[in-house]
Amino acid sequence: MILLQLAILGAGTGALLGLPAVGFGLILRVTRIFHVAHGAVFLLTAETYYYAVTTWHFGVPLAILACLVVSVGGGILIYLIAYRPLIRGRLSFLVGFVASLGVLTVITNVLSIVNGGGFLSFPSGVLTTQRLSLGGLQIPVGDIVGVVLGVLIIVGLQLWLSRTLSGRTIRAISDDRDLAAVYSVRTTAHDIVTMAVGSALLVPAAIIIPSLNGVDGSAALTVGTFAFTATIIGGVTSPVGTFVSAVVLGIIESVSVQWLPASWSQAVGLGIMVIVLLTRPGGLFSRNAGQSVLAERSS
Amino acid sequence: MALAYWENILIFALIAITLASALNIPMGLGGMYVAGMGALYGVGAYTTALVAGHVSSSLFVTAIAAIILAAAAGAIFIIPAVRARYEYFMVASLGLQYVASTVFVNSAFVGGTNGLTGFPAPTVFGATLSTPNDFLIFAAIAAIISVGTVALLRSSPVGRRMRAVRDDERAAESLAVSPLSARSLSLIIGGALAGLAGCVYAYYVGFINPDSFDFQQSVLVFTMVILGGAGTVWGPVVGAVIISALPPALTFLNFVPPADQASLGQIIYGVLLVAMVIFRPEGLISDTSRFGRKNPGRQEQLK
Repeated sequence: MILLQLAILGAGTGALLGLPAVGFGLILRVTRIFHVAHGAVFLLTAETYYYAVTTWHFGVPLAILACLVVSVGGGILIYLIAYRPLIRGRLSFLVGFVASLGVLTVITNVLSIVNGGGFLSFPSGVLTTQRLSLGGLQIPVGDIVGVVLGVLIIVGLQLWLSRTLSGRTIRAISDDRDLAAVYSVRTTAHDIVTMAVGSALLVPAAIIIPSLNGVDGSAALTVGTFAFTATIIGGVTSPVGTFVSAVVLGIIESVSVQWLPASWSQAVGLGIMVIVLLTRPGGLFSRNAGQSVLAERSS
Repeated sequence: MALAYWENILIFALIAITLASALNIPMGLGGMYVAGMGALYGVGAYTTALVAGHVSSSLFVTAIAAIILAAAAGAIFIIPAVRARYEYFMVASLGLQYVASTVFVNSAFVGGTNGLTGFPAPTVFGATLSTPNDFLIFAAIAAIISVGTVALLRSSPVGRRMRAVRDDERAAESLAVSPLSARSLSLIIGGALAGLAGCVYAYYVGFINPDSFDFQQSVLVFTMVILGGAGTVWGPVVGAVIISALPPALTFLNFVPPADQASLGQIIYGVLLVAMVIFRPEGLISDTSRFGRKNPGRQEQLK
């Protein structure tokens, strides 16, 4: 019973964190930037929600809107300042990774100067206090909202990528940026759309997870790490695979607490990632599993 | 007082130089972006503390044990090197770094989060190293060994093989150079030198805990090499000096509240990284402008 309870909680967290992971994967696939600063945008958004609700006394809908503006704006700004020159200069993956690390460092430390770097515990709301009792299981509403929201958003994203012109264009850029440019696709504009969508995917997690558990500066790295772990296990080219991997990882990390100390849970996920990298570098859910999309470009 | 202050900074800079040059071998010469140097550095430091505490406090015994075990730990990175390349190798090495950090934190015999302390000072031919001057000499020797190894490798057939594999794996293979053995050797030598750096650190500080050998440390060393210029002899040295000099330089900014100095240092460091990769992606010192570029080597020109 306790295992089932843990599994459900893990699935909720995994689904919520799966959305930033899908955003990370989309950004990686299109821009080829290993956007670890994604975690910093998460932190920025979470703290925006905190101040919006506590200090500025926004209502919840307005606070959510503020979060959306901050995360999308943050993502686009990062792209324009740090990534666009690199993509234009045709620089390697490594350089993009270092730039993203620089951005991560700047954002997390500016935030720690602003709020003293302490732990923020969010005011309790419907998401945390309401619990659903189901045959002896206690499930916070936040986790249920997370799973439902996650599935809906992923379905929407998949439809966007496969059915709309902008979604298809973005897939074309991710397959071959030069070829797309030859066909006069506006690559920068679509990069910006990708950054905006990827960053917007952070918002549900950035509001619900801190509401359940609070947040501090270390969340930037934890969320960033979870995002790239799930992306690589699931496959960069497969948003659905990334999301499923995130849910499974959430369950594994949550259930493993039964046998291992809690501090091992992150290492369990990364250990799985290393094994996947060695056996199916393209990820478990990609059609082209033997090959990694990224390595094709580099060789 | 003032002298001791500078001496302390200098010793840490020398340790950073040792570590950055160690990473330069797999990364600059071998083309393997290892994001797990912190773990290898930690293996060296923990081995030093454990051997000094339980076996022998002789500097030679502990240093050799640290070097051998860290080289063996470096050999673990060969496993991802067999299949993963470029960014995938880097991500795999990052995974191994996390696993190592978790082991450091959760293993009772290395003291868990509390770390290890109280191990005896090192002895050389019966004399005990105790003053900062002694450690300065020790750290300088380690740095010279590490930088010297890079210089030697660059002009030796072994190092040329590593660079050949880095630049064009297939061409190197056609000339009977085994990519895997060149890569493996670069990882093992890098690990050994990181172990030496860990040995100096553990003895000088006299107290070690997992915080010094985590992901952040790995990333810091990584950026030292990129900042200075991977593959060159002096690039990582310059990178290590700049990054080590940043925190003490900030203490001279009197108008910044002390509580914010660490964060401000990090912000400057982050801005520096972004500016560097935009304006000078090949590093401050470079013998080739190709390093940061996409598709290094001749393949691009042939297309």
